[in-house]
Amino acid sequence: MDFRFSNQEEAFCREVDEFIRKELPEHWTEECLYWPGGYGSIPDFEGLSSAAEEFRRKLADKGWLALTCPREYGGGERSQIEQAIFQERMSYYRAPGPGVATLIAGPTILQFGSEKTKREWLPRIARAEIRFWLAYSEPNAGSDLAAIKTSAVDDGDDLIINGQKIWSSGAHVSDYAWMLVRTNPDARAHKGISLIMVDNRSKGITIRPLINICGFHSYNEVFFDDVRVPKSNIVGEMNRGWYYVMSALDFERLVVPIGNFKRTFEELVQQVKETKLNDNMLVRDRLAELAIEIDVAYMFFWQTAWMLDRGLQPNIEASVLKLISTQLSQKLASTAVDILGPYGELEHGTRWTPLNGRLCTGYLDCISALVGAGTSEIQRNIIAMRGLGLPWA
Amino acid sequence: MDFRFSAEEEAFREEVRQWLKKEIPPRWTELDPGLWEETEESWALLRQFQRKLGQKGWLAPAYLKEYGGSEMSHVKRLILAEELYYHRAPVGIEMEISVNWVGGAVFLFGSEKQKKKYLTEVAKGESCFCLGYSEPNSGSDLASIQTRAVEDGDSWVINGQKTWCSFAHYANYCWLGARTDPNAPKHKGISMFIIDMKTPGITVRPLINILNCHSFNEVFLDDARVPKDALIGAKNNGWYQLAMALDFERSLIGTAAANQRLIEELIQYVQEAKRSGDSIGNDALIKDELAELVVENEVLRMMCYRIAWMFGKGLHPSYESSMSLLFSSELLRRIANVGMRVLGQYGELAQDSKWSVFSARIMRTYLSCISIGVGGGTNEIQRNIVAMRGLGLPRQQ
Repeated sequence: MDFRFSNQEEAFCREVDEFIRKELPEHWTEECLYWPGGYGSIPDFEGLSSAAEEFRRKLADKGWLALTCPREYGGGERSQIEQAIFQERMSYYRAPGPGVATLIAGPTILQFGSEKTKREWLPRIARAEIRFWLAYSEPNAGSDLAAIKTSAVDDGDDLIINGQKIWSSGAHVSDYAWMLVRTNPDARAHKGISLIMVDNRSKGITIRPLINICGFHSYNEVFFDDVRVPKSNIVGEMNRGWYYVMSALDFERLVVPIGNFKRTFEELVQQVKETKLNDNMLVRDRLAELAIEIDVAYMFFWQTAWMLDRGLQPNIEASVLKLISTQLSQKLASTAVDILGPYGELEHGTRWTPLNGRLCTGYLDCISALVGAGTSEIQRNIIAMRGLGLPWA
Repeated sequence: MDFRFSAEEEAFREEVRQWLKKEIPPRWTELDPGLWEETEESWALLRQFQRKLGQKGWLAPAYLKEYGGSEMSHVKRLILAEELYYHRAPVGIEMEISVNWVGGAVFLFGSEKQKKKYLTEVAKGESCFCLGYSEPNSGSDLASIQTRAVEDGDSWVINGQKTWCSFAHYANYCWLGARTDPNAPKHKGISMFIIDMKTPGITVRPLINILNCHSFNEVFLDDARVPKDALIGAKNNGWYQLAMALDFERSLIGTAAANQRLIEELIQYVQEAKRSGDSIGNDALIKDELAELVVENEVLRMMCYRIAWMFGKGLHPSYESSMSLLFSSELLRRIANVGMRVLGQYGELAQDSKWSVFSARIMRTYLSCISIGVGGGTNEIQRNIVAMRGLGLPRQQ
């Protein structure tokens, strides 16, 4: 057992850190309202400024948006630990760039896509040319995701899609839906589902905003009326989509903005020092507790990356990481609100606002973390079933 | 709405206090047995004290006079319970079982002859009961009990095993649930009995508890033959009668007063004890935790008052009692946990150590409180009841 990073990893960490500090738009980290774990304040979904777009292209030029992808598909062929180091530093600065395309679609295509799909899609993802949104949930299918009803009917070389998706984060600023559809209505729930990539510009797609609790436009509901999609856009085999998405969800649950936890906590501690609250025993006690829990989250984060490097499938670990980090998101927000009192309730823009108003937003946004990508209850079920071998509830 | 007690009620509280000052035996206070800690010596003191209470009409104060009670109002009964528990008089769960849980059910379902006999004996402190509910394979799913009672001429013959029977080795009677119709659906084939513990065929074996005391027992019934009139209420109506008795069991009204004493002792300790020359009471973390306990105990007090008030209005508290028992069992655990942290290593010392604090009450509570929250229905069961009866949510499959 060795808890240190190798010299190469340390060097990579320094390189990423220096790059971000040099290239990230000025004041981005301080001004960005992104709360760790929240879905409603992710800067990507707000639509990016041109400066941030440029930053993203520079990341792509470095090959850092597809770090672990093999070179032949445009990736950097780096280890998962290096990918985790990159994510940690990026999220520490709340930097925009990685998203559904690079963190979820890319790895899933690499694992299950045909050679043709890999050659066609992975390089475009690596070059940051396309962005995806997740088209999983429907009005009556969330925790029971296999209940989806959106249908895709065979029509020659195409499928014709009809139905509705909801809670579609960033659909309005993306290029493709990464979508679950029912391709065999007669098969049992899990066995008639396919995974398909659908161009947002297709005829018959309507995207309507759902304004979230923070007042931002991140969610959408998306309607599909006779949308024609080429069959070649199916990922892997037809009717095997459920199994691919179970794996894709594991990737999603690993996408933890771990550095943002640390950064936000540092800012809270700084605020406590500046407002002379640091002698208060109750405040110190609760800060120490948060520090410990952030360290615990870091341990799980590095452990999952380590597992991936060894070819192990971290599905329980992904659920544990998702569960503890999202609970931490809420605890960080509620503790900070308790400590900072009424100041914590101020929105950004006043001279009295601490943390530029991130806390005010984060207190509202942290709720989304406990629901998205599988509720806390679902994570506990997975841990009980796959981890402890308990029967399906 | 009026949250004050009347002048007469306040005077009654004072009367009870003065009486307790005189009547609690010094030897009892010296032994200071807590929950599930009886010894033969303490049990004798307890029975003696309860007979004295009975003579004053205070053991079963709300009973009708014809059954040995004093027809006291439920508000005064509440005051009496508060003072008994706050002053740690020789009363406890054994009194609650006989007077309120079994007594309450006998009053509702017993024949006149049964009421006269059992209620009067209980009210005078002459007899006490144990409960024959749980079995090795029936606890939360109590309706699945297997103990059988079969009619045979002018008697019932009972076979089976009961467990977790507190005080069975001292009790005169057992309030027992048994299956009388094995072919009916499980809730519809149960009847309730009162059986004499001296009946041949009954064997009581001790189960030593976490405090290293003998309070729980397992009770075996081998062809125990009891008279026909051991049956209470209607045959096969037992589940309903049992559910009513369980509501009474959950209707404790003295718990907040008992907690108050514990919390006051903790507060006294932190005011007096010093750590590195400074009073522990200056520690902000400790102040914070103690203040929270006081707030929560006031909440529990309101729940207890509501239950007493409902009884006074002739209402039957059901989910209200489950709420109260749930809250009080979790609160007691918090008190014990905070207490153990506040006392530090002193809290771990046994009662006979010269360094132990308040005769190790906190440590003993820390051990005994686990059983509250399990007995009388687990906390999960109480939540189910609140959800079903209180919120009208469907029964869980």
